[in-house]
Amino acid sequence: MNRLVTVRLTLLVLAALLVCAVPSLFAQGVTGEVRGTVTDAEKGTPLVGANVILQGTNFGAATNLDGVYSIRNIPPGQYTVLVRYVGYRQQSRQVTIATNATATADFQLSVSALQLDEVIVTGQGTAIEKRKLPSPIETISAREVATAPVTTLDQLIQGRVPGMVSFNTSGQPGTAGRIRTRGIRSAFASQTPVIYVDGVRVDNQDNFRLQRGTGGLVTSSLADLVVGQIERVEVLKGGAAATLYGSDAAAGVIQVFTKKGFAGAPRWTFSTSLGIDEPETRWVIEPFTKEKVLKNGNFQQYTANVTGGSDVSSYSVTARMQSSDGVIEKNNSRYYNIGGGMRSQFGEKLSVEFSAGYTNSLYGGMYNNNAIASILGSSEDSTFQRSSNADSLLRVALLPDHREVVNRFTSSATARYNPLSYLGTRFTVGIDFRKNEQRIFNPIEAASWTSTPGGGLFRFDRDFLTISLDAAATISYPKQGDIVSTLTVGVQGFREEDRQSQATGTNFPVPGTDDFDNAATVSAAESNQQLFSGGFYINENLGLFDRIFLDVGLRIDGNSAFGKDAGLQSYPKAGIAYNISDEEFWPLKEYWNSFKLRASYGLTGKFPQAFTRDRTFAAGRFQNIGFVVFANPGDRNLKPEKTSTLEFGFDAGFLEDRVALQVTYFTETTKDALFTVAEQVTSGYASQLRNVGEIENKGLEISLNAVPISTADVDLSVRLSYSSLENKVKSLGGTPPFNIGGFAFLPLRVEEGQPIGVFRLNIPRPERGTGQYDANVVNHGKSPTPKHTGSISATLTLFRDLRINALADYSYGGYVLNTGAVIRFFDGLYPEINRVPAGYNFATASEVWIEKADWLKVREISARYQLPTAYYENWGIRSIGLNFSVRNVFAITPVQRIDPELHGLRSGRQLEVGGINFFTLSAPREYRFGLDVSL
Amino acid sequence: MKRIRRTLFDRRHSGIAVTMLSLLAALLLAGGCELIDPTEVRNPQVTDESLLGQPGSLQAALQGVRNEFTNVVENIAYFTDVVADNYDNVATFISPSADFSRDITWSDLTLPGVYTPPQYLRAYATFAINNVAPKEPDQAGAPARIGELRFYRGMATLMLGENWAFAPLEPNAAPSTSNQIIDAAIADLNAALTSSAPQSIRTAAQFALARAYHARGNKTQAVAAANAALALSSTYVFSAPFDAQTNTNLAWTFAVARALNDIQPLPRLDYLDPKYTDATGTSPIPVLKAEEMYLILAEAAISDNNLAQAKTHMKNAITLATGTAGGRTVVSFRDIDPRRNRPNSDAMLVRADASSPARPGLVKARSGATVPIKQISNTSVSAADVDVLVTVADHLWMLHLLRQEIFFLEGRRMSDIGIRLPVAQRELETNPNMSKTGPGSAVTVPAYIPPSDEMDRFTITGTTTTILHDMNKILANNKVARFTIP
Repeated sequence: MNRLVTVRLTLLVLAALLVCAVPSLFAQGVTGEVRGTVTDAEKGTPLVGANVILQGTNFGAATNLDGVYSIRNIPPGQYTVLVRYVGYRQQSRQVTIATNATATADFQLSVSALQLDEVIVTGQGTAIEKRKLPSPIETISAREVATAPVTTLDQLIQGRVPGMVSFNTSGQPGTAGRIRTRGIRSAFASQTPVIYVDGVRVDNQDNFRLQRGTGGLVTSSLADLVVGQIERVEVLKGGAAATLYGSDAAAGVIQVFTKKGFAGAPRWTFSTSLGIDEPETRWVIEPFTKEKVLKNGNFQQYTANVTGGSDVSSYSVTARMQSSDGVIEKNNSRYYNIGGGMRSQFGEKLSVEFSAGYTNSLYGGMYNNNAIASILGSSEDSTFQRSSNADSLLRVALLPDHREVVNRFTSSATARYNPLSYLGTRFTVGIDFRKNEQRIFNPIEAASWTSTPGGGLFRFDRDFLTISLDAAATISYPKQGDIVSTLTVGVQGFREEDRQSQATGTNFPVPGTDDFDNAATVSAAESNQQLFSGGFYINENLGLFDRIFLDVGLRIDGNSAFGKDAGLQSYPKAGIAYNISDEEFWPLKEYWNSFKLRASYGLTGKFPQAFTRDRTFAAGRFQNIGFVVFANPGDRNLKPEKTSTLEFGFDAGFLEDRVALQVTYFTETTKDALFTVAEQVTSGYASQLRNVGEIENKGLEISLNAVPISTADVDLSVRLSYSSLENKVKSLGGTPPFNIGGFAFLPLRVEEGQPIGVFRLNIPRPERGTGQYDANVVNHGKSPTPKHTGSISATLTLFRDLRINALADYSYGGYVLNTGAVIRFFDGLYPEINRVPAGYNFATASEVWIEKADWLKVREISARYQLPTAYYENWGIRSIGLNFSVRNVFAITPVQRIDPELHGLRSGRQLEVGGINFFTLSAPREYRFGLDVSL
Repeated sequence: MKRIRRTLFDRRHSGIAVTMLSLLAALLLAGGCELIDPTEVRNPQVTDESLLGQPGSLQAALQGVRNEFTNVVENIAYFTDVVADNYDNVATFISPSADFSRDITWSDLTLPGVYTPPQYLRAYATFAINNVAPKEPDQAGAPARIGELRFYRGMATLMLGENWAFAPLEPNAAPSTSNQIIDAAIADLNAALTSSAPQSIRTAAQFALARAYHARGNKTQAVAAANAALALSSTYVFSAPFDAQTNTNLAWTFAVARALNDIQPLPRLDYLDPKYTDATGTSPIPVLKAEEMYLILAEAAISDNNLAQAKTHMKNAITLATGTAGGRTVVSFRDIDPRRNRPNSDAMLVRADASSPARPGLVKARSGATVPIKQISNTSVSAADVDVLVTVADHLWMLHLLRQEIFFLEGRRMSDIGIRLPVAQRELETNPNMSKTGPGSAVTVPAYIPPSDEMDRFTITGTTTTILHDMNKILANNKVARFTIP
């Protein structure tokens, strides 16, 4: 073999070790191209990023920043050019491509409230149009994301996803909303939906095992999913849509897609947002709190973005830094975030996407709720006010230092290879790495306040790594005609590593030191968990006459948390969608132009926590000697709980899609629900997770989108949504009811025939005699889960330059426990001292502490004004925009003494039902003034 | 001549290229698979495999039992004293029913924390003896450890029998009566006494046997055991230890440390409060003391109508309790408790009830003042007070007063006054032989116990505090004792 061949073979070996991204050959032979512009029919403005494809082929392009697209290297022939853009009705046109010639096809799209043409990539394994899907899938469009005055994903969801709620837990930095959809399906598992960013699973947990308690309030990994590079979001609310995600997805799936840019010359955008946070004092009781503890905080945010690209690749990079002083001293936060994404097309067959993001967050915290050193709590229960020098005691109380620093890195790479016109493959790999360090220092000077004589340093570290892998192949054959079929086969897996450690140092000899070296007593603990989950899925979507679509799928799953005897689990799904309005006989086409009926059935599941199947012992140290005692009894048959969902509904469009109505009725039943079953005390064990229960959720979701006005100068769009929910524990499987939260005097329970988390109350009955009460009453259906939720939003655009937006969400039928009132009662403060009738104590009349949590909160009002280009186009500036927004504007609620939405006391590791307010801080009113300049 | 450059994917080389790629893929799958296998997870906790048969397993299990013993003692100590007349729950989340003893039900919110530790200790000790010990590699050291395990199991069983009228002793078992429970305790303690456990444990077992026979009402055996115990040590103290990193003294937490800071003592016992003063919360709780032996002997003497003997034994107990022998030192404690609405001055006089004499020195000023505290034993009674006793009832009254003061905040008083707790909800719901209406489901409160929370009530007039009821007088009038009173 000669040297040249050797060299080539070596190069081949090296190349084979790389990801297969191989430059393709230049086109052989002669071809033509098509180009054109895509604009808004009313206004004539260009639509950026519109999807233009040649139907039945793999050829396509996106419009650039001027609304211009071009598709090249097309073999000559007749094609249908199809254009799609979110918020508009799609259009298509016939085009003839000739050799070495350029055909032109311009499109003017008209506005549509109904989004059936939108392409969804979640839940099917491959991109598919909404009209073919038997389940409702919600989306947050790029424009909504771009104009939302929010920082994190959980704030973005508030009011923007019909059927999904995101309730604030507290106004403190580092905490995140409770994201819920369609009720509580499990008595143990977290009900936060699984979150994917560019196909990579990311951490969504809170209340980590070894985290330092600060009175019950906990920080969450959702708080560092910042919006910066998010392009759009797709949401599955569970049921059939989520089946392909397997032992995981019962509580829903949120898919986030980050920006990959648009073709065009590099476009720079710089934004600044400055503002003030004003504390929400409506529910603050004591004047001292309003005057001395709460204060206005300053806010600043700076963002830079560059995006651009060519016909074959595009990119977007965003960098942002943000700082907020907070409304209580030391309650500040800071974010630094940089993220980027790119998309590249290599010839017709291969495209690659890559994205990476890094966030560094800093949260300043404090002691809360009933922690001995709680600041807000001690102010609201008059501890400061009753001391001899309130100001000086407050200064001492503010001495402890709480810092939490999070470093988070998420990255994803996807390759799509379409070797044949009917065969496409996709391969995704990515990681999410989150490292957080929490550090609480109680200085000696505050020893009497914090009850740590000699001072104390508490540190908690968590390293969390998820690696996700996903490969799928889609066969679309036939692509056109009376029968159209899309078959997807895929493999998906992820692995989680969760390493936590904790250290405590107490008794510092002198003030001024805060290192463990200097503490007299140091102790530490460690807790590690590993989890692997993987599955195989197959999904077939069969289209008949472009009207009826049958969707059938199956997922088979394995998980390291399943008991040894449990084996693999299978999750089937089936559904049908009928676009009845496409039939010739459809009579009302003028007024009622679109009507799609749908029904689906799907099975999803939730796997048990890692290691709960094993019998384990807890180890510790006592008097410097190691010991073991019982921990978990174990259950070899432990398997996931399975939630089956049946959905019926329709999507209707009226008046040329100017009004869209979406209605879904769902009923979900969780069987083999994992309950923490109590063990006999004499056994030495507390409880074991077992598959014994049955839980039911039923409800109706209604969403109305309308564009009442759409003229050249004025646009008004309105959205209303409403969801009802009935949640019930159908069966306890013969095991006794148990607590899942609350306090000993008023627990939240799992009881047969009642919603999960029903409050257990003692109801005073003075008519039967002094001190008489009904004990341990649970059959009243009062729980923190609201029975009705929804949102209202409106967007008004005037003269194309001024856009005003308002958003509100509401909740009623839930209840909240006012624990702060109990403390004020103990302290003899008015008017809580009169809450308990004579002859009773705080526990025998516990019903008095529950309040109705009905509220409507206007979340955002924002206005954005685009300065007329005439003023600055000579300076090389593309656009200047001014914006003003207010977040957490005001609330309409009958509840007087507490914010009814909040939940300040996290109980348990996974499921969090909510419903406990304990002097919890409300989210402040945020005023923001912003300026952005695009070059 | 210009060389024609060929690309790697030229047709001529494509066959070789494909072969090489396939070969690489095969190699990767064959050897490298392990490196990329994502399914391997390892449970980092201790499982059956990593415990049984391992060296040191029996020692670790024994240490777990010792740790649980401290849990048993501290929970029973503070809760039963609140139920009895020693302490009043003023403002904590401890069940408010604790002060209203007839209102304590099986669903009581603090009860599980008190009922669970003794049962857990029994389960751990039984597991250690039956499962861990046989497989322990160090069989030579096993008998001594087993003896010690039986001591702790005996102590936990004894405390179960002292404070509960009915309780199951095993999973799925029907509840045993307190006499049966104490008999089981005696069996374990006897086994510990005759085992090869360290001398310190065997001595403790001897003292524990006297306490157990006393609880059982067996006068002859109790006297013999008490004398044998005093022969081993006449200044004995055996305490449940604490470890700042693992557990802090719960009685101290409720009496001293909590911000709401409030269980408050009966005014005539004020000088004993808070008993446990160590700022790190590690003051040990005494469990077995020589004073108890003297008081058992005194009770036996009263039962035999030998009042002179009773006086001698009581005076021995007083000398020991007020002295400094055996570690009974005095510590200075700076108490910042504001004592709101309670007696809070050195000049305060206290009447045990409306017809009792007002006595000085029982209340100490707090709110930042320094008070002398004895952490093991103390009493306000002097030898002179004993000498003036005349009738059997007088002696019985004095006996109960001494027991109350000397065993303050040690979890003895509730049992002495005759109250027995119900079994906690979880046990009633999971044990097939127990129910929410059967034996063990209700609290036992004797008729002579005053209604509501009257045991804790008092009035302050000027510099005199008058307690509503003198429980010791009530006990004496009702001839309440473990041995029969003439």
